[in-house]
Amino acid sequence: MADGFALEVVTPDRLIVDAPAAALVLRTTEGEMTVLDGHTSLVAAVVPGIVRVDPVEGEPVRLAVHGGFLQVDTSPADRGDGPAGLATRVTLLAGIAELADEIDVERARRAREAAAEHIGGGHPDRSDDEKPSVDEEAAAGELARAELRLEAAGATPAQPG
Amino acid sequence: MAGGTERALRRRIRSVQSTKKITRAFELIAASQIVRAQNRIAANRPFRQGMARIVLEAAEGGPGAEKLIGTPEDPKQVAIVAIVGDRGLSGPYNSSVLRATESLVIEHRRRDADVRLVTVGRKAVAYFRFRGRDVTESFIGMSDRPSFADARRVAAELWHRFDADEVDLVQLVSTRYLSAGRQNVETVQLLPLPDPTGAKGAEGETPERAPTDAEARGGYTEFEPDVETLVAILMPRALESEVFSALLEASASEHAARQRAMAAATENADELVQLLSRTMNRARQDAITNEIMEIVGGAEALRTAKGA
Repeated sequence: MADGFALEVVTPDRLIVDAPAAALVLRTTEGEMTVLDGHTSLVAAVVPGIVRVDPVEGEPVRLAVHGGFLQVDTSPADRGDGPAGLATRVTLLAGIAELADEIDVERARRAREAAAEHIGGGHPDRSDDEKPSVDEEAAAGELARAELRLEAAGATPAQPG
Repeated sequence: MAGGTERALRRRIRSVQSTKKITRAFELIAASQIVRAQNRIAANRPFRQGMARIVLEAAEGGPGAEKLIGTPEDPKQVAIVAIVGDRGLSGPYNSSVLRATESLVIEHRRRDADVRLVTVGRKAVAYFRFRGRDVTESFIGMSDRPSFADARRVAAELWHRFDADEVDLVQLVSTRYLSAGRQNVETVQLLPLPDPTGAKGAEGETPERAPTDAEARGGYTEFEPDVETLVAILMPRALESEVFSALLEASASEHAARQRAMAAATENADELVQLLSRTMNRARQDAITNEIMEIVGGAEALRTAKGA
């Protein structure tokens, strides 16, 4: 049990985290939760937010995860090496996710400004056309992502090991 | 006259040689793209398998939503997605997908189903326009290097129509990348999601550890939120993942097909140059022989004239 559980954080083009972890903290549609070794099997929808990984070795890692799914799979270990006879495998799938350390703060800041401007400068109801609302929706998504990135990155230095 | 043939052949050889340089360059470019495309498929695999596991879990989790998982018996509104390339010079790559699509359309029409076409790749637009088929929506500019955002755009279009009950079956025709030497045109069902708990054959790529897990666990899994809501959130995302994988494989297949086609063209050019060189040499030799004959003939005539 001291080994923690197998954790994978995966995006469509990259395996971001692939290491044994002691704890995983994230927010699902039902609220904040922490996954520890031996957690019941679970499938959950993860809402956009900051995810913290406490690896077995090394310092906690923060990620900005822009929505995704979590699968916890605790089942009898095939090779039976765990003391409880159970092995926990955790997979976090996200369309977009990035490590806090890898976030380009300048870029996120610019993106936030651009998106905010787009929303602010949007013309009031051109009711005959659907296009503006779609655009605005995209800008709102962009804004939310930029803010989440900044939050994830901005807090990093304030977090000593 | 004889000198003219030689000159014409020489020009021809030069032109074939410069064509060969071009096909050779295309071949090398395609070869380097294959490696990159292959790496991207490999990088996508964990996500694809993870998504398949979650979908399986959700499908086993309960009745959920019948509309979302399973195969409709007699679909009346079908959407077909065809993925091809933006460019030609890739041998039979584009046409084999388009032909498969065409026959699928005919098959659905025969049972009186309404068919909409959604295409990815510039070549598809030209093909269907020429045949007078209506293309509902077309995407271009993503076949060379598909990004996840591209997949999202395609998936959003499909999901939108499916969710609004405009279509009750979405199928995908694309090229699957098996290895550098083998690519197959395949038709798969995108929506509703094919039932992963049933015969696993249809999908091809099933997560290798999933079946044993489901048995071993004795079927108890929690869902957050409840299964129905979760499935409703999951489906569009699973669709994006499917489309992305298909785009990646199609892109790798296109590069592989182009490399093969261009290698064949380069080889042809080589043969042609060889053949033309031979013909040219013969022509030159004939011309020289002719000239000698003329000189000898002339000298002979002069001597005869002097002697007389």
